[in-house]
Amino acid sequence: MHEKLVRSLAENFWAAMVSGRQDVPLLEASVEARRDGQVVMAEEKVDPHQYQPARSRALRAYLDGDTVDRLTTTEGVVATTVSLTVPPRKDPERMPSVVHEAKLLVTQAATNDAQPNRLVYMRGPRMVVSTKTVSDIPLGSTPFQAILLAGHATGSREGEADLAERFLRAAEPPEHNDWRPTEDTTAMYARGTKTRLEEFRKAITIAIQDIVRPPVVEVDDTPSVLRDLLKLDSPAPPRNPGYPTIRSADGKPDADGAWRVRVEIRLPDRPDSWLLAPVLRFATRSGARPEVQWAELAAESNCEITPNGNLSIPAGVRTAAFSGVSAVHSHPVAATMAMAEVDLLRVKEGLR
Amino acid sequence: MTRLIPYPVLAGKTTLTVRATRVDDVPLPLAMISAKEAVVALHSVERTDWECARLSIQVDTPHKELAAGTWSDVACLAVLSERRTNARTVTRLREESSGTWTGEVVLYRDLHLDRAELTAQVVARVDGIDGRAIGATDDSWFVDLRERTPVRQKSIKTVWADFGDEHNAKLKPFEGYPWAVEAVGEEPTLYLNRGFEGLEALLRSGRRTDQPARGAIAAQIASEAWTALFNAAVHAVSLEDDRAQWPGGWRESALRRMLPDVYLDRSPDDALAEIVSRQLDRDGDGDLQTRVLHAAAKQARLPRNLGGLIRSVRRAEQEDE
Repeated sequence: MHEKLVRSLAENFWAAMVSGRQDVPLLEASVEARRDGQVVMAEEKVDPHQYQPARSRALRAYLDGDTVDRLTTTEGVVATTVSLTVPPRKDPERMPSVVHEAKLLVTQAATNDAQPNRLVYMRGPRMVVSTKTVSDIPLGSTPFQAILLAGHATGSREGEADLAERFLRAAEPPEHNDWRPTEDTTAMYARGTKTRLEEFRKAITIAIQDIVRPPVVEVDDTPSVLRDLLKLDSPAPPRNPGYPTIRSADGKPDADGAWRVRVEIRLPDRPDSWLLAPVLRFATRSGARPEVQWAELAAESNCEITPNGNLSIPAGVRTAAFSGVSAVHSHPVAATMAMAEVDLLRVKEGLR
Repeated sequence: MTRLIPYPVLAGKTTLTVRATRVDDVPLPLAMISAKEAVVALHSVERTDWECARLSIQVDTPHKELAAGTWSDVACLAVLSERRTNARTVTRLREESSGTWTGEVVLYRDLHLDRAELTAQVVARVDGIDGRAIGATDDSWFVDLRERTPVRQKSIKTVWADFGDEHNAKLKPFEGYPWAVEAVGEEPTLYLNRGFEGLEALLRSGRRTDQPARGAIAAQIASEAWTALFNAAVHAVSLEDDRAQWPGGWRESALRRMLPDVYLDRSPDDALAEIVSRQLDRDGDGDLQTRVLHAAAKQARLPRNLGGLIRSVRRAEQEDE
């Protein structure tokens, strides 16, 4: 309940809770859970930046004047203007048509954002009117969150901003969740409310597309029928490999400086037996890895150590285990100073 | 291959993010940095003469585990490297807040060629020894110097050209052929002959009735391309201390894709060793070529595509009767 309250407060009132660096937020909220007067969950101040990181960042950047013209950083906030033409008034005021410059903010959505590419419409004292998904986003665009600030929400309460505020308020249905022609707009404004609002929406979409659109890309000339057949990236390791693999290896250097390891092997089903050479190498960053010798090798289960120091595993066996101790004299450096790698190689007895 | 480490290391995850990139102090559009693909496409439109790129990065480390562990003097380093040029640049990051490290990695154009790998390492003093690696990023970022869009996946480059054209001197000898594969240098290329009548029209055709033929030809082309790539790649495998070494780049990718189908019951390392020993064998390479053709056909999905063509021909025959 506590968490749900914090979350819903953040989701519904984040805009009012964000402030510029110098300002005090319009709204602050905190949640404390008590049972019979006893605090069971300590007071938690609702931080909009935690729950609505991208939107809160965008609004703060606008309030602080920290916006940019182009998205170049994951934290950057682009601000641009979108014009809204307010139709002339019918009533005695007889206000002529004016153009309001609404502000559009766009920033990259957080990587874990479940609902990216959304636009928040806002007017008044940061009142969220609606939140809509922006469709028609070019392929390969940066996932984003956008905020449209219109009327008083732009920060100005005078002139065209005030006229736009009044127009948009009139264009809201009683639920205050959309901008569309209403009885009020018909009564108060000359014709054109519908067209003007449509133009406004279209201009916003175009502005967002321009901001998030990926740069011009060289056209890939590969016929689509061939493209899938020519992929050159390395494949994922097979889930059920057709060869023996190490299921687990565990070990550490002992007091004498020798590696003591225990290795479990997983084998695929096949009718033949296996002959494998257990190999211990010292890891290097690149190039060949120096191989060290075994001082002791001991079979633990389902395998035998051959006189040549290989593992002989009978047919039909699916797991086997062995342990080994490395020969200290063959170490290129002290065992504690390097990482080691255990590997299994296929061998033919007599050749190795 | 399984790694053993003689001292305690981090179990938690270390992740790296590129937050912004500036090329010669000009910010790169964010769309050139793909967090999803973990790729930076450092090929700014209309700029090829840049000298250095600065990547602002952030590394997140498991800070609770670090605080509770026995490590001391913990540091976080960003490593920018490219195997082809042997370049390796290490940048020490500063801890901005608990567990979050940031810094700027500088990539000099003349130290790199194709794509640089960006990883992060966490190092610390362990049991009195300084600078031991205790953690690293699982997934690398790639800084691509040739791509324009940030894509992780690579594929064989395809170029349409008129083989008969005087300007394509190197393709002129293959004038009568529908395609040619060039498996040398930094990037393998598949040339498709625009002058071969009907080839382009068929491959680009969207008609459903053309689908069986289109698929079969595409599979045939791809199968030949993979065979050529594989054979070229095998020649690039070198021996160091009698052990076969992976050649890197597209050659390694081609081998890694195909070896599991060449030798089903061998691990990639064993399969590579086997290929090399077959090559050195004076008695010939046995059934190796058969196996390679099989693996190439599998890459090209030849059985399915050819099956589609055969079925459609059969169906046409039945309709004629």
